[in-house]
Amino acid sequence: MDYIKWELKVFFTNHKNLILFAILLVASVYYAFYIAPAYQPIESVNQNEIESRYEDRQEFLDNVEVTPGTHPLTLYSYQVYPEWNELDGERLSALEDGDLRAYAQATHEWYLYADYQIDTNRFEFLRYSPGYYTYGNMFSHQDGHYAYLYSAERYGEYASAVYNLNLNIFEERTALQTLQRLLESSLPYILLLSCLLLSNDIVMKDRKHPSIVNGFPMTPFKRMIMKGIVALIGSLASIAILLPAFFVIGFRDGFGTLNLPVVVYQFAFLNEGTFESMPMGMFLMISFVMVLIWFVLIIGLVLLMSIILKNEYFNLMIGIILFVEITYYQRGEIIENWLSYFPTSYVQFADIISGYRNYALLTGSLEYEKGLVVLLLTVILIILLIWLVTKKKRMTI
Amino acid sequence: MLPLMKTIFLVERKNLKFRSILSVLVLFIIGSFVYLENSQFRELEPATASEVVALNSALAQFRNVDATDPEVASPLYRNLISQSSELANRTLGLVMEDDDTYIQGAIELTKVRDEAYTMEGFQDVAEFIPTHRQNQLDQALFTSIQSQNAPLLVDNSNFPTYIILLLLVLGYGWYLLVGILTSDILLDEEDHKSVVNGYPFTMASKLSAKILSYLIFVFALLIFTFAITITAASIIYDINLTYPVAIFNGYYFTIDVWQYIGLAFLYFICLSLVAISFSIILNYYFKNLYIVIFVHFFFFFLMQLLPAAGKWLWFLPFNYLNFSTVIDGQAAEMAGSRMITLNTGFFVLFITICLLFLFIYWQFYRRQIKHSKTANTRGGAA
Repeated sequence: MDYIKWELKVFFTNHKNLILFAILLVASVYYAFYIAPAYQPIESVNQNEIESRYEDRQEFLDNVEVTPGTHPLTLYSYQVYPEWNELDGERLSALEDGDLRAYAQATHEWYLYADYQIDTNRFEFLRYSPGYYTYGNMFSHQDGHYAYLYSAERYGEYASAVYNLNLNIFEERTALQTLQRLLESSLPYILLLSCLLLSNDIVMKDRKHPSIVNGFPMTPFKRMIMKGIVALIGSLASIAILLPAFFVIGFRDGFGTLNLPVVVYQFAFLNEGTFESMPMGMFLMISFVMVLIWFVLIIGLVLLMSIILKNEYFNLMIGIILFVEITYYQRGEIIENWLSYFPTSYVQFADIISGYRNYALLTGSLEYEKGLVVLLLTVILIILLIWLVTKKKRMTI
Repeated sequence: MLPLMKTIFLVERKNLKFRSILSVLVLFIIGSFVYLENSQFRELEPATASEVVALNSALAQFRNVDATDPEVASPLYRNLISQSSELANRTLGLVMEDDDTYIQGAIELTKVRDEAYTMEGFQDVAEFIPTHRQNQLDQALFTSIQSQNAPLLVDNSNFPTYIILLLLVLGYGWYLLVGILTSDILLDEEDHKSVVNGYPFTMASKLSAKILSYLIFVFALLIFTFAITITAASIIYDINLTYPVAIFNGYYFTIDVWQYIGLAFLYFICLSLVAISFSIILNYYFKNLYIVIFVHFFFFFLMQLLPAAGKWLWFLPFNYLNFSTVIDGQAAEMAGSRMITLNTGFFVLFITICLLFLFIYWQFYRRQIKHSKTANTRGGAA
């Protein structure tokens, strides 16, 4: 136990680690104060937008005259707009009354109806929200389709929710939803890279004082495990460092509850899968388990590389495994199923839990259960290797 | 000094640091080929299709009116309509595999689009059409393709596209790579002070030997990377050294691929020198590997953190550490200063190198002399 205490003390007084913690703290608080409030979702709650669309179409419906010579597009609009506008009208009146539950129900139906019309119409004059069609986006239609069905599922859940609703929940601005959004974009890289940088020198620092270190009455393997535990605690501390930012967002925009829906896409052939939802608590728990296993994997690799190669630069190279998947998982390509048996395919774990990866890559092979098994097997393999090497080498670090 | 350099080489030959950097580069080279195989980087078909969709979205921001009537249609709307007809020519060229139609359509499109940037209400549709910089680069590229009678590159599996991808990524990473490599340039001597101080050389020659050997190593890495990638790319794809590449240097124009490679090579040498000299100074003050690396990273990303700073401080070197954003004009666009060009980049980096080495000279040599003088007057007890 004394050894762990001593290692912890060294770990948390290490200049590099302190600087890293400071960088994480400053960056996250900066994010909470400046970047998070500027977030503007494409599917926002915008009364003006609904109103102008509603009035335009109402004017059309009031004035249109259908004769045998009517243009087919006019005819099509004449058939489609009445129901669509009714839904828009319900949304408007719910917003004016402040009845968010009714708004959620109407919006849920609106998204389903709109997606059906846009996705199946043959004229291509209907489009999803313009935010998806920015210059350079080659998958705008797919993105819009996903976002509409995602919103439909979300609002359906809100309509039958037991917790209080507010606009921040609708626009996914609460602290928990911000966390979810970050997990689905850049946070995995930040967490895993900081874990690597924190644990990078945990073995190598001992080389400077071998006489002290070798005096501990402990087998090398046990000492490795102790070091691993210390690095794990330190890496978990880097998650704790992000808490102030979480509270800043929470006190400003609300925390949200653990019952909030996280939409999960179940892949089916030709991307015609279904959208379901899981509770936020469940999503965060699976994410946490994934992060934990990734941490153990990275720390295990650091330990292994440290005792085999004895060089800090080689440890930094472990960071490459986080970026390997970029070379083979590209949208618009045909994805081979066997690629999903690589541990490197599971860096973006939140996207895999929510099924977005499967949607974007048009594959059914990426599931988080499989990811857990693959990662766990890798971890066991690495620990076995560490054990073997320490045994064989009669190591003096 | 030569025997010392020989010693350094003999010692460092076994240093795993160099091998790890080498393996990073090898992995990167393999990865770049795999990436190009899988990605849609610079492929014309998906790019043109998405451009059509984006432009249609821009048009959907307006009410449908008669575009031929200047009374009811705004100039921007009419401009967008003529853009979409030129864009249709590009699509037609792709479908019919008729390069000339595509190129002609692309040139006309960039010309028409060029007028849109100053029109009223442009901000509302800005996200649907490329920025002014991208448009100018396109115009330069397609005009050169037409005048040189170069073939149109529809797919991305070809030599010029690979070189553009390679230099794009290397341009981002080279400064950081050399920065990380040299981040402990003086630190390993701290670990074995008694050995190092025992060398029968002055501090000056020790330092110059160290710098020289690192320089040789970095140059070797650079030549290795360029040689391997160019050879491999010319075997996999057919070599084509005269295809035009659009760049920014105050204005927009094209150069041949081989000139592009040469420019990048020279620029990377300058970046390497800056990184090495900066590392030495940081080493002297901080004596911690990771702090040096963090400072390098901070310096590199300062441009992204404070884009507005470049407007007035264009003469500071941190604007020029990223080759890719300098050569395609992104740095100038981001900072809002047309001064950030390749020429000023070379100039500023050169001045920086001179200043840093002067500083190192003053810091290490002069102090050394001063120190030994004071030591002698006190009776040689130092």
